Amino acid sequence: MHVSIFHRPAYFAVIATLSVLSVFGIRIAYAADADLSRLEATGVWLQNVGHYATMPFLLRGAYLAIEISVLALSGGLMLGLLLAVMRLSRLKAARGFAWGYVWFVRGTPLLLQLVFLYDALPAIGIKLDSFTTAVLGFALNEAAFSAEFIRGGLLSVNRNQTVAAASLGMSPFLSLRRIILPQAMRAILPAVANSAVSMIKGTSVASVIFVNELTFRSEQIVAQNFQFFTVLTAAGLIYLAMTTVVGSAQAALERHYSLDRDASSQKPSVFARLRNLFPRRAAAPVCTEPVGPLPAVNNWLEDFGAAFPPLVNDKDTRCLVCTNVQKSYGDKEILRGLDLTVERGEVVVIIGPSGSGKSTLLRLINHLEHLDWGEIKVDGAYVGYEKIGNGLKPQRDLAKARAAARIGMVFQHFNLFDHLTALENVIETPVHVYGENPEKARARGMRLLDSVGLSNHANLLPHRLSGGQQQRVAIARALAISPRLMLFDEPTSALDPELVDEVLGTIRSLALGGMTMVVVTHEIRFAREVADRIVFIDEGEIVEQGTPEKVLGSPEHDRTRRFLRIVEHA
Amino acid sequence: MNLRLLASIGACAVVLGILVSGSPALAQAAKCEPQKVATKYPGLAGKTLKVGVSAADKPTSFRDENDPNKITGFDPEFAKAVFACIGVPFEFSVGGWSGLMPALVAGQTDVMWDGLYYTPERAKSVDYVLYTSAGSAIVVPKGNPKKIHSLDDLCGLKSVSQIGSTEIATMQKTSDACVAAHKPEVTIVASQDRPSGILQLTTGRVDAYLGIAIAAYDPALTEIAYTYSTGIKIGVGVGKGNKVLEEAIYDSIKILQADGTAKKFYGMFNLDPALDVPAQIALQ
Repeated sequence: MHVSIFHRPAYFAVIATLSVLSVFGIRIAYAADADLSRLEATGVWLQNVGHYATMPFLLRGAYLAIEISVLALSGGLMLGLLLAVMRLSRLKAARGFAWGYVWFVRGTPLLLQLVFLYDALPAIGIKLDSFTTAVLGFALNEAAFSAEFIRGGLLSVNRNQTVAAASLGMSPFLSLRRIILPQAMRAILPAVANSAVSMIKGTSVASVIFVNELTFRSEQIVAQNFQFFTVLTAAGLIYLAMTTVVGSAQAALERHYSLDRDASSQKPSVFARLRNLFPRRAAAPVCTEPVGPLPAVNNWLEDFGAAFPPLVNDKDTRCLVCTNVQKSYGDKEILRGLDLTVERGEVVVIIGPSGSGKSTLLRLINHLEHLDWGEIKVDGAYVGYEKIGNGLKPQRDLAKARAAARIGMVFQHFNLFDHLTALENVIETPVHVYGENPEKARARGMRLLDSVGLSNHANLLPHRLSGGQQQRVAIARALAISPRLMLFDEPTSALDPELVDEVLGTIRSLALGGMTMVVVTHEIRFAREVADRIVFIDEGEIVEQGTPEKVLGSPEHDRTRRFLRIVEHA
Repeated sequence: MNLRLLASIGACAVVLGILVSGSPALAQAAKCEPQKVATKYPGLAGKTLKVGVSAADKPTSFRDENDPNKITGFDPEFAKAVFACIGVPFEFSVGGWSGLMPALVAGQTDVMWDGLYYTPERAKSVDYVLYTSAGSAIVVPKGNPKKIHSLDDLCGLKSVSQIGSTEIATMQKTSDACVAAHKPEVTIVASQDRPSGILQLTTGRVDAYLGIAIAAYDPALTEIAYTYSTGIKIGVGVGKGNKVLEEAIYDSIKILQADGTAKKFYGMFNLDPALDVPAQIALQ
């Protein structure tokens, strides 16, 4: 059971504040009216505060503050998200514009901006009313501030999430909406609540443009009766009530985005409870859903094999053809004219020292990075390039090209989507990239999780799984796109030794099932067992390749021998 | 008999005719004719004027004690009478005082009617119809513990007024006089608005408050120790060059000053009728 020392903090805050205000107010009341007895004076003062705190005239002002804040916050956050994305964009113009906007709006007084919108725009024929001006002004201002904390939230999400989403063929927008933003929310929410609170209180600035909200109305009452403390205490109570609502909403939202939400002991969140009021049709809990007869591990590939017919023709047995592949980062040459062909159904294991270009080659194959020179064809087609003259030009819609190529990728650090359960990780791409029916995708997702031995963990978030389990979910996730080619980038390097075998076992069963695979690994024993062919890469080129017996048993080159000695003694 | 009656009726008619046709201007200036607004002020017919007020400055402009949706005060009451006299509908636009003039200049409102002191500087941005002047008072805690009976008595004491007000300048002048007479200077405090200045007085942070001369701010806690005229004229602000509206307001104020309505407003808000200034259009 989750026990917090901040249990029901709102009530404590209200009681504490009320006590403090009462003590001060009562003292003032004594001073003001020495003739009354203490008790009488206290009663009269509290009664007056109560009168003003429930006065329709002031409550209308409070309602106006809420109206302006809700509209301005919604607009401001949307604009802020846009600006944040622009600031993270590769386009220099977009970055520059967003930077300039934030610099200017954040750097000039809100009061000035409001007066400008209200009193200067009429000169060019735009005459806005008070309410519109206030909403617009606060929204434009909020956009500048929220752009910064939203950007901070986006940056707080590990980059490997974006890479994983891209490898699955998710568009940048989809990846932002489904993967990055939900995770960034945990970092963004407290700042949003701060914004909401300060905006509700800060709308009083808008009195210069004829907005009669709570503070301005209280000042008017004070100007009339000079009961400074009584009226402002009442206004303070109204503000406290409003900001308490904001605080509660913040707490509810934070629970919703919490990574503990899958824990079975947890009460359902407000949102879950709301959703349960309107049950969706045929929404049976997944874990009790009948999955049907489970396919045998070795031939489960047939379960979705029909989904990937070859692109060009059946006679071409080559699945992957890399020709003269070159890639540099700055001055550093990573790949220097590498040629590699992988037949359909073949398992190729790439070995080589760190920094030899193995991972880069994988990232070039599914076009996570651009080629400098040469070409790569998967099933006879380029992935996201078009041939122009002698060279290749990257297409605009890379995500679509990646999705069409159906290349599954498994990463060293798993790169599971941290906010989604194991099953949600697996079905995310089928449902949102390939538009598969969610119910069907769930059933198939369960079969995939079952085939990697994790059907009991379907509803757990990644951080509750061991490294080996996470990697097996990652494999199931890659398989869910019905890949025609699987790429493994050191899939066991980040695992504790006792967890390596379960992952290798899963990969082995895939190989036996006939999947075409390119595996980068340091596990020589595994390579020997599973590979049809071993490729040794060093300093950006293939030093030698051949059967495991040949390359691992009697290597021709010194460099290969040296590498094998180091790896086998490690 | 019938002839005599006819003759006298005829004579009366002729006399009346001469009176009406002979001095039309006099007749128009002498009384309110709201139903004739379309012919007298064609530019105003069919319009609803927006009148900028702060409603946060008693007795100039404030919310009614019993019905806060009602705006009253010396200026709003004057405004209501003037626009009724012109025959043009209007509504109050309630905003912070510092926003009233920019809104008038921008055309968001048609009139600013809220204790607008005349200065040549302001007259560059707005036109004035002057009609009253500012009287000030020294307000002290009840019982006048520091025995203040003139501006000179402020030497060595602490005194507050609104930031940017003419009273601040008066205090500065008084302080300079104190120093020249080898007396301690006046410690000047500037407050954000009138209520917070009064609060400084009632909480004992200052010895005196200088501000508009009304009978008393909070009779339980304060009293007026001394009143003086600042000589500063107060007017209605109108957008630069809005001739029709200036004429209409000017005509109506003149009528109200002549028929005793203005005097009634001074009494209503405990202001000195001697502060009255004959209506006058000031364009610079």
